[in-house]
Amino acid sequence: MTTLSYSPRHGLIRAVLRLHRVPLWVWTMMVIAGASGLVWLHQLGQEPALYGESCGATGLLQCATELRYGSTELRSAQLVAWLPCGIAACAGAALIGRELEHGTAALAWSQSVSPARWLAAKLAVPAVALLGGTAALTLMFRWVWVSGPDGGVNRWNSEYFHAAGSVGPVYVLLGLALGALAALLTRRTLPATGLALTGMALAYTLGDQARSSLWPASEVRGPWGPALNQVDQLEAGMITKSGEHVSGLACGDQAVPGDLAACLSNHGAVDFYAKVHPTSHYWPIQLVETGVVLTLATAVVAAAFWVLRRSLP
Amino acid sequence: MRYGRRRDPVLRDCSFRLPAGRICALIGPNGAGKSTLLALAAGMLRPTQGTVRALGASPAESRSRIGYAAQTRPLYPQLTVAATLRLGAELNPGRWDQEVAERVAFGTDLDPSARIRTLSGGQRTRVALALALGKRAELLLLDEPMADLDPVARHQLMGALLAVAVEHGTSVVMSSHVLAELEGACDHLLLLGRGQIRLAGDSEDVLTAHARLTGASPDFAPHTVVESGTTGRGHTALVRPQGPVDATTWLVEQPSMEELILAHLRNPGAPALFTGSASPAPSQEAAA
Repeated sequence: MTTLSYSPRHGLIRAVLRLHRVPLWVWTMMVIAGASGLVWLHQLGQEPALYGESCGATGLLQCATELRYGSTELRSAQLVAWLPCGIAACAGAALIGRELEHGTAALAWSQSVSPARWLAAKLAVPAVALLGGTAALTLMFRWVWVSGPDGGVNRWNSEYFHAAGSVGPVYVLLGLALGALAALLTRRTLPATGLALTGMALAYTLGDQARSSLWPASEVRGPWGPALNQVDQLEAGMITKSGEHVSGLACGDQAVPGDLAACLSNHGAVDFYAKVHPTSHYWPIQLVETGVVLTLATAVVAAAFWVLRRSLP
Repeated sequence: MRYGRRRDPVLRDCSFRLPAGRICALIGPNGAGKSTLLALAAGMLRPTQGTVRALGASPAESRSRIGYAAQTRPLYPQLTVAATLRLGAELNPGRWDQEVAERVAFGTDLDPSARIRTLSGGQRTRVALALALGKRAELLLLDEPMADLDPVARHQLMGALLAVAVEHGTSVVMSSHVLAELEGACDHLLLLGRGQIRLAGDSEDVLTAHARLTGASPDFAPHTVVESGTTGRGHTALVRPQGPVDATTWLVEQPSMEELILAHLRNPGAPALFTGSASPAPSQEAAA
């Protein structure tokens, strides 16, 4: 009689790793491809500086390179921001939904593995892989973006906020959790994938909407200056004589452009104001949103375990 | 047990005990609730009402001591046979018997490096049974274990199963809608019809508790009639004798197990019979 001895915890993890070898390889290849692309983008970003002349003067070649870099950078930001979240939602839905649909989950449950441990392992392995890959891509994108030419990109743009900050990786965890919950609710792969992607899109949109309210905004006075192009603009308007802030008042429609004093008096106002998040709010908001999304992901995972326990002893 | 809120329950008022160390045939027509009952006992489903106890504990607590082969034979199609057995070894640390598993899975001609998706139905059954048997469980719950096996494999696997059961004193429950598949191997009977237990007990006891009476009178009192009808020789009935049978009035015959089961399935109104230790009283729990 041969008795093979394996440590119980590692046995399950090893089994999950082996079962999902192909998706794990595909993900690794995607991360490597993404990282290579970002290294190439970094090279592209260093080129304009080599021409020596600035884009505004005679450096046409530099302008072209900068433009090319700028559009590629935006596309990379979109890929880094959106693709891992989508992949995570699909992975959660497919890896768990497929097992429930084909009944193979029962194989693990009948082999001394409790359903809760099974779900924990099925979530932990992809979570580590997705988190690691996305964190690496996010760090690399940040490196490329910071070291590349300044194309006047606002750091608060949704794609850049996701692709270059700590919120990116946690949205990936949320996607995985949503996929798992959808799979446990529908017990089928395709509906679960649809549901998870919808939930992810909803979370993403809500995050974009709510982001500005996560930290108290600062108020700046005076006319609009170029410095304000780099901040998160929430609200702009004028302050009336009575001290009331009226949002939306602007000088776009006045007869003589540039005469701000006349514009102010026409509106019965004394000064301009803008509610903004300056650059100093960037990391606080990143961290608060990271915390909120992480809490949400934990709640979704808890819900997934609850759904599993409801139907199983 | 009920699937979905609006559906009729699959199992209702289904209470019985199964003594340890028995090899039990779980017989019933299609849709009687055999698979549901086994899945409940294996901890794959949570009962909507009532309790299930297996090996003296809840099925979830006994999970590592129960071997279960579902009717659908869930296996990972991308794994090879050898990798599937390795999965069993990894998920059952300290309990796995590789030798038994290999004997059951490979039989005579199964290639260990074959992928599960290339196997035939019968070969998949062999691998599924290998996972259940390799676990060295104290209770084996096998759903239609012989359904898609050829006669040679059936004989061979039943032999391997009985050898394991005898060697380790394993309790076995095997379901089928055909008694002939299991007859000879089993010493205990559970007959399930429309979600309820119709017969439960030691096969011998169940058989001897019934008699076929043939005579001129249609009145079979005081015996409990399971099924009665008229034949060319007069009136005949399958009864459970209550007290001594008057052999001068009746022609008394011993019915076969097949007849007994058919009579009970045809007549759902007949009262259920629990012999000896199969009775659910006093705990009203299903225990195996």
